[in-house]
Amino acid sequence: MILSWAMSILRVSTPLIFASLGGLMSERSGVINIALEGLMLIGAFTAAVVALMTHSPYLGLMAAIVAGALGGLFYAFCVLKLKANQIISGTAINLLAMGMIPLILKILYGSTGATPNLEMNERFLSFPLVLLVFICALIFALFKYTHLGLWISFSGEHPDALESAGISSDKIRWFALTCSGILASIGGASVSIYLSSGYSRNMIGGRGFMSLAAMILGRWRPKTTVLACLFFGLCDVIQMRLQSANLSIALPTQLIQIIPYLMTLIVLTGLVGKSIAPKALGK
Amino acid sequence: MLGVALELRKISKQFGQVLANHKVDLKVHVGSIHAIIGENGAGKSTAMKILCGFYHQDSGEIIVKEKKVRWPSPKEALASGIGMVYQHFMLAGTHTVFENIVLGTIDYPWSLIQKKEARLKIEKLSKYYGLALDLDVNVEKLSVGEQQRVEILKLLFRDTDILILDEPTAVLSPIEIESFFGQLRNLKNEGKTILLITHKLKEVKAIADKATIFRDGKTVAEITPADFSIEAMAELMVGRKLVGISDNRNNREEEKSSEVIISLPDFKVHAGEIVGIAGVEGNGQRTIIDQTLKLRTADSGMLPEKRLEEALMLGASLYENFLLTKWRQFSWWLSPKIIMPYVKEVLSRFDIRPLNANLIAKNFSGGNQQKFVVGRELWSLSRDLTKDNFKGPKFLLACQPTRGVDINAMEFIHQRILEQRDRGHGVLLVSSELDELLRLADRILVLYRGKIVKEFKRSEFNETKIGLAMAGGSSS
Repeated sequence: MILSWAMSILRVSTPLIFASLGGLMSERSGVINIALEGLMLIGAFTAAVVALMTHSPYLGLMAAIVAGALGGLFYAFCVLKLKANQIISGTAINLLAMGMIPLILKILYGSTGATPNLEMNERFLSFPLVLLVFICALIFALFKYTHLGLWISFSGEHPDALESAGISSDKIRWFALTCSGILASIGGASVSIYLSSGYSRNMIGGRGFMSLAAMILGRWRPKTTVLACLFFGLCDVIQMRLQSANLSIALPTQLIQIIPYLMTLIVLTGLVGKSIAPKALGK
Repeated sequence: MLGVALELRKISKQFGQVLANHKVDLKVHVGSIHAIIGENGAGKSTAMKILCGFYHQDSGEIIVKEKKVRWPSPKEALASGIGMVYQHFMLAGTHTVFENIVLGTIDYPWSLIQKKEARLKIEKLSKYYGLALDLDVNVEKLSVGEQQRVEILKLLFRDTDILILDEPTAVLSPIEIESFFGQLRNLKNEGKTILLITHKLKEVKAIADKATIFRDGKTVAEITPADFSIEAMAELMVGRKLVGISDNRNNREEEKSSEVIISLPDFKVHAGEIVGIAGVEGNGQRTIIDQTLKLRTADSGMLPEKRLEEALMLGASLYENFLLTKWRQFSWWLSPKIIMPYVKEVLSRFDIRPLNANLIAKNFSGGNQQKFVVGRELWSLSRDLTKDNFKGPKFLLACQPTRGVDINAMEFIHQRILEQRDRGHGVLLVSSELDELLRLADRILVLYRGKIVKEFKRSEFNETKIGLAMAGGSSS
């Protein structure tokens, strides 16, 4: 029983953890990333389409990584090269992803709503979990033990200090945003080819924003961010179990589905307290 | 005398229309403390930034350790042993001292931070040069003096042997300055070369072996401060004789008026009195200023600390800036015909150049902007027969009134503040320059950690005691 709960929590948290670590990379380097939602959509869609075409989830994931990297680079181009406003460019990417995907779906499959269903062998059974552990370890180590982690963090806290030590904070941010795109995209892919079978409309359903919330709740630190994601995962599992349980009172499903979002709101407004965002965030 | 550490030969640098450096010559010997003095805008920072590789000279050459060099970026200058401590520290508060020091010392992103080796080296350096620090605390928990030590260690860790320090004492209390000078002497004795950018001549005399004086983008003299009086150095810096201010207080009996001009929770300002607030910045000055602003009446003037952000609209003309605080004194119809003569009156009376109220504020130099703000705040439409519009407000709050202005403007502003007092008005003077307070104030209140810890009357003024109180020590 406990094991089954733990497994479900881990499963539903997987996309959140990938995406929020992506958000963390970006924001620790000093760039606000509300494009996570759009990047997740891109990842979910690309992975599903390529998995359908090639019958291999691994190739689907690879394609999602490439698409995510391109998305991250595009965002970096907007905010670093063109110096566009971060919130507006991020929103633009979200809207672009939401608009473009139905269009491509219509061209490819004649439907704007969803891709055809993936067969079992075109989906992942457990590989994303392995990848998750690996990525978590990598990012913990990055910030704790490496010079690169220190540079990313200084780029978000005091970019001038980094520059005066001879390292370009712009380069660091290009790198961090690309990583951010890749991670968010893997998060999206794990929704479409791991948790479900294929892409469908509204599949991400605000998970990108929830990841941001988890990152803020985790105070921009890798370990606490992962814990926050697991907490949101728990809320999601409760919500799902409540829906399938035979309750004596008939609660509308919408009311139950609202739980994870409600928790996000409560936690962010009530429990976070003093925010300790990177000092140069958004500048 | 040891060899020459570095030399600038005929360095020139132009920014747009402004010639920031014109044939600057500088020679610094190994193992000496060399002061770079000059007023704001005299070109000393530009020259130092060229030396560090931040800017590139238009002409002239840099010779370091007998080799002609040209740095593509500060990184190469740092690698050759030239490093700078900026006035605004380059430290991230949420990181530890250790992390701030090792930042950028390895070029390979994925290499691990070598904790043991680096620590050993830092500890050795800090012991050797007497710069004691706890490496594992976050920088934001440190005092400003300790943060400065981190900056110096950062350079030493990179094997820097020519250290450029930009106004290092601006943020330190008198006590901290003394221990800081001790550290500088240690560094010097170990053969390091130190360039000290400053405008505090007293400190130059106290510590520098040599000094190069900048004026209007040129180097006008290289002197040995020990042989010069502070006044002589100041005259070289300004380029003409200084008039000094006249204070008739000393010929007068100390009379205390009982009329209270403004009453704050912790103290009162009386008529005909200048109350000085001393303290290292960030020890509660803001609270006092805010309390004062709440009690502000129509008949009070204010010289805010951040002039450019709080007292002037840089993109608007002086005429509009004049109305910014003075519109209440006119009718609802703001007619330029009526008001313009008054603005002109401020400009001519306070010698603000160019004498054109239609120019936007941005086009005036810092000193002139400052004088304009002072002039405006002291102006009020006279309602009596004397027609004197410069009687000044009954109460004046002056925060760092002379920060960033040249000596002439400083004397001028000091004189105006003293006049306010002589007219029987009240002045509250908040300043981090102890000399300014000693010169002007009738009473000095010392702030430490948000509280007034000590009060000194003019007859009790004593730099050491006030300095001690500023650092939180008790003086008995």
